[in-house]
Amino acid sequence: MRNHGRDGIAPITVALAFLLGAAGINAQDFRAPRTPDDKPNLNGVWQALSSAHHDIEGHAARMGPIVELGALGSIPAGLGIVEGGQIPYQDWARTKQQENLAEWWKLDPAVKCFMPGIPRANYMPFPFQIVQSPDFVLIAYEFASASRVVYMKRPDFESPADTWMGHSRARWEGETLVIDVTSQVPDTWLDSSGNHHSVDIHVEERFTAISANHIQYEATITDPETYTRPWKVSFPLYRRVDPNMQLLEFKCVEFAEELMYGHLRKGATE
Amino acid sequence: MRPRTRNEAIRIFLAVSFLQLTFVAAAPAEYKTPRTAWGHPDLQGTYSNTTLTPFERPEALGDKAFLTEAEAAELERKRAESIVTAAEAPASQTEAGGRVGGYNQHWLELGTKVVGTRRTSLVVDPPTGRVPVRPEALAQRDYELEESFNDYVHMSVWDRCITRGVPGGFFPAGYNNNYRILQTPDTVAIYFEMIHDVRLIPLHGRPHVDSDIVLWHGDSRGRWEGDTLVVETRNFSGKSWIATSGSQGRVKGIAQTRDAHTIERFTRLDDNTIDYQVTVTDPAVYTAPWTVQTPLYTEEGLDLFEYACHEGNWAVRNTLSGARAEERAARGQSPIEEN
Repeated sequence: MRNHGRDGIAPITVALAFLLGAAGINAQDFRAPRTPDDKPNLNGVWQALSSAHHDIEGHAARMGPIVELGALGSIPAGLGIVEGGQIPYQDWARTKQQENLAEWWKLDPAVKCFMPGIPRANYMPFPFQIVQSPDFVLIAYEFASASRVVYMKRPDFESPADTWMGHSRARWEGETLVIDVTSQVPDTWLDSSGNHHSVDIHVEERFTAISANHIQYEATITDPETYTRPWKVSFPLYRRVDPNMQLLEFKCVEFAEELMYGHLRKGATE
Repeated sequence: MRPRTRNEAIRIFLAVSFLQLTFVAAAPAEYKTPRTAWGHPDLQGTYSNTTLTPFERPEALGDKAFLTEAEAAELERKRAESIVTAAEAPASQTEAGGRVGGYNQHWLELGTKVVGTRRTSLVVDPPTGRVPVRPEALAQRDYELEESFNDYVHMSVWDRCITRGVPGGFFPAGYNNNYRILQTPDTVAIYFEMIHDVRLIPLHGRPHVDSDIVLWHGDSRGRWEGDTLVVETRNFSGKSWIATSGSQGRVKGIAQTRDAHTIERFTRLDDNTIDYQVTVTDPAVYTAPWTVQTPLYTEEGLDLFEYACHEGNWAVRNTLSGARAEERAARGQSPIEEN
């Protein structure tokens, strides 16, 4: 069993709260600028800043799987984004995560440029853009050109099929955009450390602007097949304030083709 | 004249730009384009551009640019009939060594109507209705299509599930010809059902990104000209094809170079229709710029769903492994087991 070092989390949270307070950011009081239909305006390019894409649980730095890449291919330490430190896995599910971790570079679907699913898409180390309209919110992710159209006005519309990025229906709760994500395939992972879920996963995401340039993101993950109770991840999203910011492309299929099909090229096995 | 340098290509492009024609579709004069809350023409909605009209004018039609009403009705009647015939045909079993078939009628979105102008092709300029492709570009296309069984890099970028490209994503194919447009004061976003592609078109008027930043979709800049959204795109990757679907006939597989340049125009004609036009310039590939016009129309109940193309892509794997198996068989070897 792994030791997750939960003791470090609380003091850091207190320190962070103090720093935010000192910087004059009071999340409770912030009222976001409005869209023309008088909703909090979350339009823009956003990005998480953490090593959660490697491991959403707290973790020490560790060597990467490719010897040739040395320091640059290794995994940075991270405080984790799981509330309480550890994912409340059922025993079998923790065992499976450990098996996944042992050969993660062979098993992580994102290595093949498969769409990361929700919530993982939101903390991949790539920017994404939110485009709001009254009927739909479009979230376009640079990684794998993954994208999702969030239905704002069809709360009863069930997905006809399971999908990689899920079926998203949302509502506003005051300052918060609350997105209900259902119908995800079981094939995605939550990070590169083998953290996983079943087809029963249900994610409730909450996007709350806490300053002109920060969104507090929170997701409650429910999947009784895999976990003993619902659990949460939370982290800030930072606005990419670069004056010339725009989403570029990471159409990574072309970076995974040699891995997936290289042995099938003419002459490859002769 | 074939340009020999990039600068020369740009000069030629600038020269021909002034000659570009805009094919104004018949918008009723009294139609007033709705506005967004911040005063921009409102193009938002969910659209399809599935059509019965072919991409290029069939050679048999010669210089006939428009169908008569009766001809259009006859084409539409025949298509409706063929859809019924196919739907009622008994299911057939695939046999080893035989045809494995393709998508069925449930999957395909076959056009049942010709475009409103009754033009004989979606290519509206040059007046021949045919893309002015240079012979060298056709030869390169033949090479790519032939080599596609040998290496994935020669396969269609659509079959590879990378993208149908810009403007290729707006050339109707056999399915997923569905689009959703969203607007904010500084961005027009277009979601393409095909491969969940998104185009984010900024309206800020800043210059294009550095010419070394090449993109599969190119770098787009949008502006409003009256009620029309005009989108200019450059910085293409040079790795894409202008058209990836058999629906584009002989244009499928034609290269799109880094010097390609497109100007797209989106104009609302009525509450249910947007006129889409794109003029393509790529001097090493075409002898002249050419223009495609296709309506984007809303339909009751039209919605878009995730098309996870790469995640379920067996086309590349099976195409290549089939070709390798044939080669091994020709050498008297048994196929390699794939898992």
